[in-house]
Amino acid sequence: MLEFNQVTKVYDGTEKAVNNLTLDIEKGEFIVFIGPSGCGKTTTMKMVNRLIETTEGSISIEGENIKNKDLVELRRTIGYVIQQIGLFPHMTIQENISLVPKLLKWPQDKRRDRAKELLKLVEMEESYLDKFPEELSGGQQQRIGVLRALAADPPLILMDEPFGALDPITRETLQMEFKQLQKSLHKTIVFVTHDMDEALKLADRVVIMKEGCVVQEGTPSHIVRNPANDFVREFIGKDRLVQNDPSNQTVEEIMNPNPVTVQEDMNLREAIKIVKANRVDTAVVVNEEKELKGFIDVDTINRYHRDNLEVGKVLKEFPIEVKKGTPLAAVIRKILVSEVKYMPVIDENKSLIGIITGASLADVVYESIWGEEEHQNGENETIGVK
Amino acid sequence: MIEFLSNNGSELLVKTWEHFYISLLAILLGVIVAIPLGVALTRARKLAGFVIGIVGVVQTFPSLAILAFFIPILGVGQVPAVIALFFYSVLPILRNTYTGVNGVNKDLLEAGKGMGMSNWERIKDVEVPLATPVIMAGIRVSTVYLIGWATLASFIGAGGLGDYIFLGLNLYRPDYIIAGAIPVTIIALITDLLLGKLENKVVPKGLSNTQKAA
Ligand SMILES: Nc1ncnc2c1ncn2[C@@H]1O[C@H](COP(=O)(O)OP(=O)(O)O)[C@@H](O)[C@H]1O
Ligand SMILES: [Mg+2]
Repeated sequence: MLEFNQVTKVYDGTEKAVNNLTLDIEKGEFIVFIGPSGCGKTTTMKMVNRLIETTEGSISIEGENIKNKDLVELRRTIGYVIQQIGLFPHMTIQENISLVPKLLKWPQDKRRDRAKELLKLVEMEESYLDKFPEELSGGQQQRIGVLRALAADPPLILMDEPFGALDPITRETLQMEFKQLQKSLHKTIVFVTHDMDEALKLADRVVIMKEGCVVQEGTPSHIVRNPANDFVREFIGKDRLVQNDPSNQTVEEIMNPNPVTVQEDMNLREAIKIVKANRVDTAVVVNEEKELKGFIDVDTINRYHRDNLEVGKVLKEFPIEVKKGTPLAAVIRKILVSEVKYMPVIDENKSLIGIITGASLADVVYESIWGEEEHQNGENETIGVK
Repeated sequence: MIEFLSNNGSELLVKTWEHFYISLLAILLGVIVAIPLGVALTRARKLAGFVIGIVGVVQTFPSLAILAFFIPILGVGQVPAVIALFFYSVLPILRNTYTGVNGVNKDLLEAGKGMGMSNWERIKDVEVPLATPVIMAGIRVSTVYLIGWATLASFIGAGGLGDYIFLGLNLYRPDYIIAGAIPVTIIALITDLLLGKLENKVVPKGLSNTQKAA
């Protein structure tokens, strides 16, 4: 829907306010740009509605380069909300909300109806229509600021720190309201903030910037789990990094990424050597492409070691396999109830990427998940398994 | 005084009217020229200082000199008088328009621009309405000055209350001088009062509240 293609902005001199930004934003996506002050967030945003022109590269909306569109028309199809709110003090709330519809020459009744309809979305009474901005609180004013951006139903909305000037409680209220609103409206939203809590709360995808460059992008949960570097880690802040919160962990985080493996086409004697050398009682069987086949354990070895068969002939299959990215909480009960000792973790190609062992689970289980799950589900009988 | 009024009553009314409309015409011309020029100058900042400077210098010329200057070009009568007075009306309105429009909150302009208002729409719907309190102040100052200066119009045969004052000066007749000066003051006061009322009308509502509060 919105594409940045190697976009660079140089104001004056040689310093790049935005440096070679390439980004593809999906329709309906809620993208949040975040970074310290001066990292180029506002510049990036304003290049979309051409309040600032790009120095190099191109930006396109629905495949069309924005440079080829009429400037005024382009802007009327993009909602715009700024931190300073920017309601016109000499216009009533209705006139403020209907500004773009008026520019688009909608008839008067249609404009008023639309303004009423929008006020309902934020649960403000119709009587506000004829008030002036100064009669409203800061929070109400910014609600109107948001409605004004929605008025002509643009598919894309730009928001530059829209809640930044509000007190914390109002800010939180508006964030929640807006997230709800966005879900029901299916708009593509480009949102700028320097507040990590806000970014994590609202975003489908977070783009972290530093000195004009993208440092990392990804879903909020991906970023808090896998910060790309110290800058990101520091920016996210210790409190929000979730390594230690088991209820948010995925299987990769507790798996052993280097399990002892043997090849499917080895003969059993070779395999036994490997198992002995590693002092394990179980080895995972894979083929040449690292694709998971099964496992052999002490029992297999006892039974077949005299026959020296190929490993592939004697292996057992795992009763449970899990895909990477699976939340830990979802598999824990399974592994405990079925009393399997090991659970392999595979990727989309069925390749082995690690294994979860009873030992690695034990810590997590006894900590908190088990208890929490119980509270949520009210199922107590499985405790007996312990 | 009563004797003066009974002898010259109707003539006094005519002269007062002349005085009033010469001033008003000059102001009107001033408004028509100075507001657009003031707005235009906000788009050409480099030129602005220069133009406002020139207009300021013109303003310092003695009024009589300006009036005299127009005699060889436009002759005598009301036309040159209105034109000369017009020059004086420009500066306060121009300066206030420039200052007022320049003083409009940049965030509002950015919001307007970002939402797709054209340059003209921003001027018409945002900048000028928001600058009206300052522009109106300029018009009021201008008007009060002009009504005073219009006395001098009689010097080039434009009539008005100046006729009495000059006559009084020449004939050593204080009653003529007073008969000219008092109505000038009264016109000035009444016009200012009316302009005050007009200001309340044209200054957008959301703004007048802020000003009262401020
Ligand atoms: N109009 C401008 N002229 C020159 N430099 C600018 C201008 N606007 C922003 N900059 C510079 O570009 C960089 C990025 O600014 P900006 O995009 O506003 O950052 P952010 O919104 O992330 O705080 C900063 O170094 C800033 O000083
Ligand atoms: Mg910014």
